[in-house]
Amino acid sequence: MEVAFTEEIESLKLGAGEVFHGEGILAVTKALLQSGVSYVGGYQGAPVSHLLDVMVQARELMDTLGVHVEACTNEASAAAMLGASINYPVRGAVTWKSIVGTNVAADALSNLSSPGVMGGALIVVGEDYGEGASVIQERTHAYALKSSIWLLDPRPSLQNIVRLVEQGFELSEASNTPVFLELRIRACHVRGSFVCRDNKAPAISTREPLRAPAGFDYDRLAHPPATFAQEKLKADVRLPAARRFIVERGLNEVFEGPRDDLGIIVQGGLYNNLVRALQHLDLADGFGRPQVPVLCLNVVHPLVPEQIETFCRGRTVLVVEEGQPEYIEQAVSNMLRRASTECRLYGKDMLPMAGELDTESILRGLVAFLDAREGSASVAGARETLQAVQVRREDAAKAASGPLPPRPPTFCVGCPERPVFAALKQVRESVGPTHIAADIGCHAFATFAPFSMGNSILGYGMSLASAAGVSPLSGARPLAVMGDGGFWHNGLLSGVTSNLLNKGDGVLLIMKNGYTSATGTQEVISTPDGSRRRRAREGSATHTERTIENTLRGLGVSWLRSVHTYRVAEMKRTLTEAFTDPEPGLKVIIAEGECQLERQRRLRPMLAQALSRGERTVKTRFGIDANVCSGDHACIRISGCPALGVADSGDPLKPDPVASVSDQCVGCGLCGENAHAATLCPSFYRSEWVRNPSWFDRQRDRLARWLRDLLATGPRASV
Amino acid sequence: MKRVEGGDVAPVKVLILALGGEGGGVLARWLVEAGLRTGHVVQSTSIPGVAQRTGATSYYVEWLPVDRDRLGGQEPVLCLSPMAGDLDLLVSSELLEAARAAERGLPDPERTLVLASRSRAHTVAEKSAPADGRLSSESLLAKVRAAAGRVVDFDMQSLARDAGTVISAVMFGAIHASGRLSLSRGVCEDVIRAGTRGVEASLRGFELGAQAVQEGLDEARAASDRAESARITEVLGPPSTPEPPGSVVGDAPPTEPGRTSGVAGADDGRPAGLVRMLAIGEARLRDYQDDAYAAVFRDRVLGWADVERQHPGASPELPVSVEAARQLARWMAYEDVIRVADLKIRHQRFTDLESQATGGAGGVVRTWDYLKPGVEEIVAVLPPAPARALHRLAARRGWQALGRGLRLETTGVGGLLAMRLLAGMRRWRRRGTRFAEESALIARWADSLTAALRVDHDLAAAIAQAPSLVKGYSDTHARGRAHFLQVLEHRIEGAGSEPPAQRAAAIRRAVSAARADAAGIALAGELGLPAPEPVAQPIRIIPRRRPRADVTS
Repeated sequence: MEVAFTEEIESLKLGAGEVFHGEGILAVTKALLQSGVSYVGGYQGAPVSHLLDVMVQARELMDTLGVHVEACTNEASAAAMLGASINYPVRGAVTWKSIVGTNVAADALSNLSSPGVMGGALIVVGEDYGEGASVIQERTHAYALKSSIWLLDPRPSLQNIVRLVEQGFELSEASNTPVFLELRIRACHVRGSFVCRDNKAPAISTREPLRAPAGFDYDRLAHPPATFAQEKLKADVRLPAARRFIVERGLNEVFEGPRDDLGIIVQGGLYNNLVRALQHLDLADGFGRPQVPVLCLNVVHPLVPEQIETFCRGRTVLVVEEGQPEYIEQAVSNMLRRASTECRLYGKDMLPMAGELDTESILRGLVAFLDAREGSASVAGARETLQAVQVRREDAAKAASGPLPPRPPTFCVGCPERPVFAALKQVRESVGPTHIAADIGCHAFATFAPFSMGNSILGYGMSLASAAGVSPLSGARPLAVMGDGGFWHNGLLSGVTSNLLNKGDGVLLIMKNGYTSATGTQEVISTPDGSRRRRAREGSATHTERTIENTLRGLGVSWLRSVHTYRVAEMKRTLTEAFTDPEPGLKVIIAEGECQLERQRRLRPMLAQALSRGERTVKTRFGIDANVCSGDHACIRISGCPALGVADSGDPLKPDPVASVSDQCVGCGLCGENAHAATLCPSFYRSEWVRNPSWFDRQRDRLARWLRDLLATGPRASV
Repeated sequence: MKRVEGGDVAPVKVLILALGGEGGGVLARWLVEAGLRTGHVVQSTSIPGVAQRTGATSYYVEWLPVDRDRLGGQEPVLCLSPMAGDLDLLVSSELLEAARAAERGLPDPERTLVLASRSRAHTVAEKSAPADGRLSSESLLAKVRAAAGRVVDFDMQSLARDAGTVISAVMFGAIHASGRLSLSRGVCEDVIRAGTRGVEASLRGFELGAQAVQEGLDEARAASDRAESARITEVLGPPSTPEPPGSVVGDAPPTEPGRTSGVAGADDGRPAGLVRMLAIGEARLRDYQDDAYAAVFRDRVLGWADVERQHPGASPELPVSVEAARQLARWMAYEDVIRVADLKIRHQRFTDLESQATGGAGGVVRTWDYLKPGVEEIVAVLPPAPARALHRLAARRGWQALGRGLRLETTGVGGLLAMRLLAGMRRWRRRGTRFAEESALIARWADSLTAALRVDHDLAAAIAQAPSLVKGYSDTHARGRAHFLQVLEHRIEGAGSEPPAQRAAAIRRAVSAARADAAGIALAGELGLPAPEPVAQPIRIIPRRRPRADVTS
């Protein structure tokens, strides 16, 4: 990764009393060091990538403290890493994106929580739910319940988040149970501040290693008959211990208010939205002091029955909980029923079952709740505000001729994956439609216009496996698309080896761009090393690294082709061959081309340096002659590049806009390749700007100018 | 907005809408940093997601304009996401995104100040449409204006370009000048200076953004004063001196003929629009071929104009002749390989390429052109006999294009010479097969148009715009031409005795059907013809041998 986190690393070094300013996820990182963590692992994914990225780069600081950092190849390996805390009194933390990462980690998590832990084990999950989410809308809560892992959902103030990280380790140790800490996407990216404590060097560390391995203790194995006892321990020992700790240490917060007939129970992560909604009803002030008492659950599992009962007794209570099913509401209801506590309970009957609980949804819920309880006069003002918003939306929708076109993310300018889909789109015109099993990664952007390809997405690295049932039942050979990130995460085992074992058929297209680009260009095992990348300069470095090819050959894949993604015509031929080859068996095409983001990050400083030294540099870009372009935009329909847009033709005879290349162009070459491969119009050109030209450049330029002066057409130019 | 009654506090709420890669993250950091330096409580958050990949992103900032020291250690609760209607300031780097915010009911019509860039980044849906799929900026802006009370709109993108920086710097200046945050200019500049890269350019961008918003706010204030005085006028009667007109929004420089108001007889009593189109068309065709070719154009157009004028009830601006002139000029200057070569080696082009690439910073510029002429396009410029010979040869050999595509360096000796040779074939263009074909088809259309002008101007207008179907290169051109022929034969020439209004409507329907569907199925349906053979969509059953079952003994 070419990005440097110098500033972030500095903030990890702050000492006691100093004030940290920065993002939520970095605050968690700092809190881990303050907690004396011995080892950290994880798998990248928004919104928690930053935690690991910064730690990986802060190697020096980690070495000083003796903390081991591991960039795991998937969430299962990260979860399994926590196994160190089963036998040794060491604190460990791992991180990933949830729900998807937790799904992958599930096996290890079950087998971790069954024997339980000796040292604190914290799992920081980026709860990617609601607005901006890139995964299915499910909750980590289900895993917490089924595996008896405690779940923290801290109120999103950095000081509170940091406190809960620190107390999360203690909770884990006090109850011998691993702990999830979930942070929603906006909480990860919130910029705030907190007062630091000193970092703590762990007692057992890479500097102070263990004297001896743990002795044999069958009860620490997740293996029968120990598992039966472990299940009992969960209920009889660990759960009560956790509940005791939660109450004694005040992990949950009660914000008292004068209305003793009402109460609200809220997940910590939603607290700020709730307070804002209360403010709209004049039921809280700017510091969150409510009129209606609020129980803020920084720990959403386990709940403490006594705490719930005390809060609810004699009140009408609303549970504000996001998503489905309503685990917390059910648990609260159950506790109240068992204790025969007198309390009228509301929840999902007032709030939406699906979707994020933003301020507006909570306000709507509160209005309904108070209306049911106190009558409509009490909420008239807020109801009017909400109605006005609704009317404005309806008016705006009516005023438009249709819905505004969406703007989904797309391949970057110069992305090496775009040419592959341009080729595929052309091949499908001649070979016919094919089933396309899509996958997770940048290449999933091909599911959006102008490519609109892909029949299913079953998970990260799952594309080939998800075509296993399609292939034998179809006439045409299906295509599975996979990135190198997905290949190493899961695709090699779930897809390739399974296909080979079953003598399957099908085409696997691997995007070998060298990184897990969609999560922030982290390295994989097949990432070309630094020296190769520097030698490649602006070119692609991926062809210098053959781990994927060697692995596939070693497994016995015989039909294997590597094609540079920018050779569109060659890619078209190779795809056609793979689709039409009469021999059965897996066909693997490796589409090679380094991530353009990384190339540009590497190139820009190189170019700046070369220029400052007065060296010859070349800048390439593409362009379109407006007077040659016919305004058909076929070029855009097979590219969708953000740098390729439309502009007024500047010709009164041509009212339609012409295609045009913007300054963002990095001169990747796709436009030229497409112009040839798809026989587009002759309006494309490539131009090279040579700065600090050599003697040879200058002589050739002189000759060309002289000849141009003689031969060029049209009137002499005005500058 | 600051400390409200009873020691309570309320933050200022700012939503920033941007696209990935526009520096929205940097802007949010600047704002937080400025807040810290001011001693206030500021919180920002974002949904960057896959931001570098050009999707829509948003940044939300809450700013409590109270000295932190005066809070007595109490922590205000700041929210992480915006609520519709509860915003003080909404800033958008792109017009469609501002309109989307309006559609979501985000700005409050009384309270929210909207700073919207007029610049557009077209969505894929807009730019991939075959003709013009762009949403009208006017309607987008109208949407924003309808939803928000105060809107200051200006082109942030072009200001950023002028300053040589990213749009985020312009937005920072705009936010400062809005006055909604207690952001002193000095603090803003310090924050920018604390950065490492492009500080000077950022400061320039900041300045331009601030200026634009300042002017916009001043103007709005003046306008509201004017509105006030207009109300007074209504009551008291007009003032003694007339109000100066509002800002001039004319879209044409006054020097250009024909835009003034239409009918003025600058040239033999011809309407200005026609005079202008004649001038443009003649110049184009003289450039394309020669004076004689331009004269053919002029005679034809003037002929139409005469007929159109004689019709009772003709519009004095002769709109049919103007549109027909536009179509005719474009069609007569059809793009063949000669024309393309000619355009590729213009003096002006070389100058433009150089200034575009270097921005005047010196160095050497080299340019390569991508060409892949098909056999048809070569045949087109040959006289009939050699054309037939090449046709036969190509058919026998199965050539479709001239082998691989060519990449000619037009700034090199070889490329320049090759282009010059091709462009020089212009003098033989009239002998080429395509010239004959196009001229014949143009004549058929022109005759139909003349006939229609005698009958009904609405019908003639429909016929006049039909050639817009004929455009592009190779396959696109062949398809468009075939569609045009169908419309010509079945709706223009071969129409029976139906009333002209019905014929005009039928022509328009056919033309838009042809535009909507490249395969021509919609057009065939419209014309009542058998649907064209769909382009062969192969369904391939790949013969796959079953792998031999392993026999175990």
